[in-house]
Amino acid sequence: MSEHLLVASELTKRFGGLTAVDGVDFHVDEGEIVGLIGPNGAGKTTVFNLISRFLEPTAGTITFAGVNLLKVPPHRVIGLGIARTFQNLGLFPYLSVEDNLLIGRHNQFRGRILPLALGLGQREERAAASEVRAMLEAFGLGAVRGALASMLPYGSQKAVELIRALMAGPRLVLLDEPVAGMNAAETQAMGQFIRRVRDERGVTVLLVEHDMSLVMEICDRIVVLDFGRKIAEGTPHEIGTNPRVIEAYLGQEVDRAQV
Amino acid sequence: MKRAIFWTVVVALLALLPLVLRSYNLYLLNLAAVKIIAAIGLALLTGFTGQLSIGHAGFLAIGAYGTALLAQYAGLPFWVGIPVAGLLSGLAGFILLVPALRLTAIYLAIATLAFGTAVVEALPRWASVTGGYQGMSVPRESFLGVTVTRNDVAMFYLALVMVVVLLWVARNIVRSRVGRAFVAIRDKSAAAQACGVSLAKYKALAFFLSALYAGLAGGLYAHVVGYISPAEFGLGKSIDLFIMIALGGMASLPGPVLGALFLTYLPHWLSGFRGLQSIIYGSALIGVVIFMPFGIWGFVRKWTAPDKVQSLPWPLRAAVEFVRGGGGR
Repeated sequence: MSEHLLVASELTKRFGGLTAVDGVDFHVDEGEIVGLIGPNGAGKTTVFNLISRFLEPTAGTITFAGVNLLKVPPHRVIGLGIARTFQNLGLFPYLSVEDNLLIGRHNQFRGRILPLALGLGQREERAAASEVRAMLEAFGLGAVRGALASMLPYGSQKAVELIRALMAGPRLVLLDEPVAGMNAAETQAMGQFIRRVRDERGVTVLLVEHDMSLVMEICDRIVVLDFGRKIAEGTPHEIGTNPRVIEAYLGQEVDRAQV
Repeated sequence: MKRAIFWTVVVALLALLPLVLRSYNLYLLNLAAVKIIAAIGLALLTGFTGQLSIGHAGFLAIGAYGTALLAQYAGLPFWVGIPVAGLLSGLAGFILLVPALRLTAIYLAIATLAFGTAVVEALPRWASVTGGYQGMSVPRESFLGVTVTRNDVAMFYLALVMVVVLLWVARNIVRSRVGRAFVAIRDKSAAAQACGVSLAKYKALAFFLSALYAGLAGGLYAHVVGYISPAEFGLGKSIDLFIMIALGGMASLPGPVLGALFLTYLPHWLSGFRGLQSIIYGSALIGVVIFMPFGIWGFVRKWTAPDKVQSLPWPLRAAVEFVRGGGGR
């Protein structure tokens, strides 16, 4: 059991009197696409923020590839191999797509500040820029390299943010609602994109998403949260027929005899 | 390569200015250079990194007094004194890191305001060394047999060298991973951290660099004017600096240069219109804020954007594209 890539156990987060995440256990294995679903307010994004170390858990542990994540500050998480995207887009709007992707590989830059100040970082910059170009072209987005991130259509921004997450060569990416606000065609394309990322680059994916068609189609395994608790876990088929999940999403069937 | 030649020619032409300009005009340019350097420093902090400071005159004071005191009591020549005082100011910049790691926006601005005020209040109280409210004169120094302190021609060359070098350094920083990290912190600090940018490290660097620039500007100022007093480094100076970068376009390097020139020469040109001076000055500022939200440079960039430039006739288009390419962020 110890070879899971990511393990959260007994994970709990309280905000004052509100328990957003309540003793959740789950794991992600290398090469999987795992969906984290649940109604609004179930605690999904809080789980992401705990893994990203933006929040300190009230109790519980998170380990990634055997490393205790709770000992790591937020900016070191990516160095361990965990990258993420954000629900409301984490792109830097006033920077070009290229610069956004360059920030994605911030950790790979080795140049020290003094040589940089004296203009000695050119070679490294050029190498990084060509890496960015190759990455964009691999995903068919070569044409938007110089555009301001905020000028792209929404779907492309989401795609660019995912590509940025890949720039650091992560083992795991956390995708917070990758298709929120997309139409059916865009959703389909993003689903294929996520699959490609896993299949071609061997990147493990943990995603939060409300769009059930996407979750059912691309996830190998699904973890369901409701009011901070894990209520189910299993394959898409198992989840789709699980009465507790249906109840959480649609409400309990009212027993007419009791009315 | 073409660009390097272009800028070499520009600097060479500027170096010829003392042949045609009178001493007073050189003096004005030297004051503009002081503001340009300090404004670039503030732009790195506020424009690029998004850390508001309205206490920056405190760093100018540290640089100016540091330079003067190092000359007077340690006998250090200006070419050692100015860099050392600049570094001291840069180290003092770390003081502001303490509030900056906890506060943002206007709350940070208040903390920086307190810092600026504290410096100006502390200086006269140490009267035996600093000369109190009356201020102190900067020891006259010479270099290669020429008196430099208060010598407008000599100071012009020092100012030119400092502006060119510091602008070039700022450009290198802004175009490196460091500059990108600054902007990332400004726009979305959580996403910046998720990308591996340490907020503490890069905020520290921004405060250090910014205070270093202001300190160097202060050191230059001490030798340009030859006499310094605490009142010159008050809140008004800090706000002037902020207006310069807001006016010029704070998230750019041409912006603070334009803003500093504007704020040096506008009051000067308006000095003929007594009484109307403040009205015109104020209206000009309001106009810029309303019609150029990204400052003068933002306005220039907007109207020379590639899609707008396409429709220009060829010679104009070529000229605009040439200048644009050098503007950077």
